[in-house]
Amino acid sequence: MLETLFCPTGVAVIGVGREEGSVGHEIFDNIREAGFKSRYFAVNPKAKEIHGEKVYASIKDIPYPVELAVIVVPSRLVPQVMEEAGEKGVKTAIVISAGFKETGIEGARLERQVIDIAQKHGIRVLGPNCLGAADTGCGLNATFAKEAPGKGNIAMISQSGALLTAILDWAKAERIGFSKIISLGNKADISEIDLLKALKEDDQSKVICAYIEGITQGREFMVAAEDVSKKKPIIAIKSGGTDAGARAVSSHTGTLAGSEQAYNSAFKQSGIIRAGSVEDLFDYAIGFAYQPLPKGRNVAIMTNAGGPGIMATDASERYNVSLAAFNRETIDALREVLPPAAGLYNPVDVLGDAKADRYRRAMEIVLSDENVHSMIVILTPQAMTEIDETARVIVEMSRSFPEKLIYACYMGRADVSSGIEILMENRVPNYYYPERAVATISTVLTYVDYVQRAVGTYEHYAVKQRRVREIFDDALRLNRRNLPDIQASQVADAYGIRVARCVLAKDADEAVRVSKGLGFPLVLKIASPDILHKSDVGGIAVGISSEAELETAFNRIIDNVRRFMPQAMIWGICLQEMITSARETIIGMNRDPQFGPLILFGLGGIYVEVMKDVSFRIAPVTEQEAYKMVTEINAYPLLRGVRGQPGVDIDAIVDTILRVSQLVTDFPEIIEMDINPFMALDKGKGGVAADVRITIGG
Amino acid sequence: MATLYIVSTEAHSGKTGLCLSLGLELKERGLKIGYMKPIGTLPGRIDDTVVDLDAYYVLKRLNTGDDIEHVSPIALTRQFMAAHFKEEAGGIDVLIKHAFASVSEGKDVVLVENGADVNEGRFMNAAAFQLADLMDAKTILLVKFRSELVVDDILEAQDLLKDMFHGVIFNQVTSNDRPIVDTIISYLEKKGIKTYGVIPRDRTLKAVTIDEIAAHLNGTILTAADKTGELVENFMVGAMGQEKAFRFFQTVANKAVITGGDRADVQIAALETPTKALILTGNFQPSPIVMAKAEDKGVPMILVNLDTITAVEKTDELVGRVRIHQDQKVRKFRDLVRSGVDLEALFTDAGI
Repeated sequence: MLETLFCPTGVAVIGVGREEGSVGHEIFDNIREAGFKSRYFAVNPKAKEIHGEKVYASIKDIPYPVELAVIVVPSRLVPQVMEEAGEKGVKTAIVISAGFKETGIEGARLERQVIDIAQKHGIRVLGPNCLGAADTGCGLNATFAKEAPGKGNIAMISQSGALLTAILDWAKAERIGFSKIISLGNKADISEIDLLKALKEDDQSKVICAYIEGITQGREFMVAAEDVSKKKPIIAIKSGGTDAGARAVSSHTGTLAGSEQAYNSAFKQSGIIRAGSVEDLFDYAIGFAYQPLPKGRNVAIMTNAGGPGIMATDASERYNVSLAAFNRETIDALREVLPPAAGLYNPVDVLGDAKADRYRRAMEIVLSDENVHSMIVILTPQAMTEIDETARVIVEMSRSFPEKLIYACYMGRADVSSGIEILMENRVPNYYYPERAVATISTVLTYVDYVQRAVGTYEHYAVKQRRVREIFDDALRLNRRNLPDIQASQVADAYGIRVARCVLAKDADEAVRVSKGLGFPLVLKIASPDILHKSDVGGIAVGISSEAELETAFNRIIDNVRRFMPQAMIWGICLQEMITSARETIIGMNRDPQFGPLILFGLGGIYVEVMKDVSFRIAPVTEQEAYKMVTEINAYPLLRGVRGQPGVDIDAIVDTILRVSQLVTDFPEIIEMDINPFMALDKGKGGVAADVRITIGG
Repeated sequence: MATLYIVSTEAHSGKTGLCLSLGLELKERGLKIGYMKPIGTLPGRIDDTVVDLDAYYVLKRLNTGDDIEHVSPIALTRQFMAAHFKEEAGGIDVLIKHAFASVSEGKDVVLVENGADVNEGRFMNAAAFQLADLMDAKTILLVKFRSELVVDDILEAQDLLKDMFHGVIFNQVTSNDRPIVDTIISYLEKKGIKTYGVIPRDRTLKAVTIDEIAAHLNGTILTAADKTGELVENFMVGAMGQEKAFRFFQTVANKAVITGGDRADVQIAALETPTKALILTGNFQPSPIVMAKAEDKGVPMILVNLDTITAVEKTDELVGRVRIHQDQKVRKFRDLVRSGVDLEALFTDAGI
């Protein structure tokens, strides 16, 4: 898939200007200089020869097969060029030219026209309005970037072409190479989804990096990403996470920036590693690309400086990376080879005067310990430190122990640079600070967990779908977007969610009669199709424990509602059994435009509102993910039970999350749903939805 | 010949719609229909003659074959009234009587539409209660239901119109108000006032076209110019972040979103939800890529040289004062009249 984008037989650059410095000319030069393995041609009806090579008037005049067309002509000429490319039998086109959707209505029309022509001929299109693409394996550099990418096994996809040129320049200085770089441009045809699928099968690419501003087919993206993540890591920067950033994204790409929670959940669920900055992106990229995935979680730290060793240790704890406990034999062996003042336990302090040989002996011993799966080697430059030689030792150890992940941390800049060069050229990633090395290991471990996790299972409950359909149809007929809670409760009930029993009373006398069957204490809630936030209008009373209280509360609620919302239709008041000795939780959902239903779980009340202690997942969620939603909130110990307090029925919470997940997946018209509170009872006793809210759209 | 005089308690009550509905109904029954609006309250120029635009629209729809000068003999322009106050011109009633004679010639039924209320035109002896007598018309009072106090207006009309008062039709009644309206109907019956029907409130009738919005705000259409005839039922203001805007916009269909021209985030959120138009304030040209998206989705963008607050105030003026000048609105109103009004009783009592 997309082989003809990266490794085509025959490339034509259409629109190669005679002047140096023109975009077409630069691309042609880049292709020449990168040592492309197949043939390449220049097309320009006004030129005869460029650099002594023949220039063709049209792509159709080229007497050899051409699979890839790189189009650099003014936008209005692109349709005609695309037509000719189709006649020539081109398989893929990179449209570098700008002047399409990004310029407005006319441009968008032109873009559609170009894509229609391409589709007619079965041509896949990258761009338009992009920097191009490069493949270091085939030596194809069809970009107008100033720097050619060095060879490597990191693939980079970017929705910003200009960011790519900066990355290439920076990567050159850091000696980081690429397998492929691709600039997406306007994404008129080829999207990140196509590229993920193609890069999954690409043996040269060990890691996929991406810079993303907006995604349009969220669900499809997740499916593709999940499939790729099982085979190789995807690391992505997603920008536009703030209000101001979202404005910039929409203005730049014409798409929704998307909600942070939805992106975080989608990335988490599909195994994508989210990088917060370009620095993080490359920390992680080289961490994955240069070293193996560790076989376990334990890390050894070796250092010639006490302070940085402690910093690395602190970071390990903060990033949830476990420090390896060495075998007795390891410690004994270290004692043999290290000076008496050395630190023998983890972190291993080989002392400031350590030369390369001491590093070698200590590393050999520690790496031989089966409890050690990864190692961070820290070096600070003292007068006697053998910077280059030690780097060579680390490289040698990395080769001798190919199953163990080794990161270097050469601290400093000027003096250590020659050592860093040796390390990076030999695929031992170097990090300037211990925290960054530890953060990268932590990221690698998260990925390993993702790959090794059990395949999730989706519950499929027997539910009354038709009943829900009827309720929604009725509501839509009355143009009622916010379902009255009686109907919302019926919907929940149809999906097997236990809902607190609620009986409607039209007046205080009826309420008293009803209360005899329900018993006390009771909760009273105004029943009105016009009132969404019942407590805002004084429409709720809790803890009603006698008939006298019931009468007073009933009349007070009616008075309140009449005062605050005189126009509201009042059906009566709902009497509901009051659930005591339960933990209030919230299970909610809102529909994300890109990824679909986003389910929320948290502890009710201030935990949600003030502490924002909530977890999110995109539905449908698996049983395993639903459990994780419950366990990953900070307040989880309160649910599990602390200090002799009994735990709540977590299975009931999980069951309800899964039922909500099924409901909102079955009914795309549900745009918001809240079970707040969902009363989690003691372990083994289940849980009850005390209030259900549903908003439908469409 | 029978004459039905449609009078209301206040402006924007639905008289034009009712005249059209009754006229179309009677026409279908094979009767020859005449129509006139003696005092025009919506003056406008048609072929250099100042006439009432509602009357012009009804004339065209009913196709009665009468001259517009007779259908709309007087249009209350400021100049007309100023001239009248300076030097009281008599004979307005005669003028109307003459026009009525022309319109009613050879007709089975003439529908006469009044201005705002029973008193309107009194300064020139042309208030409803005066004209009804002149035309020997049966008067139907169309009551826009605001509160229980509309009963006062009905009783006043009864006092003024006396035996020319024929009955009442309620309009714009919500399902919430229906019980109290039923109580009022029984009360009126005891006072000898007959109610012929209750027309429910309907959102689509309050809708305005995108053209009307653009004209009212003096705006420029930037995209999807072929979609400006679409109806907008709701207005929403977008001043929040994209995520909130999206959630807020999702629940409301057939809306126009008012936001700054520089707010690409809000504009995109609107374009991803059921939106009919974007009103862009501050005279900030939107991002080209967002315009391309609006064009693609067939959503007109209206660029206005107003700040958001002023644009909101001006659109508020539009809502509730809309005209029925669209075929789909007329059809809808006619359906509501057919199901809500006892037409047989109305026509029989009027001697039709």
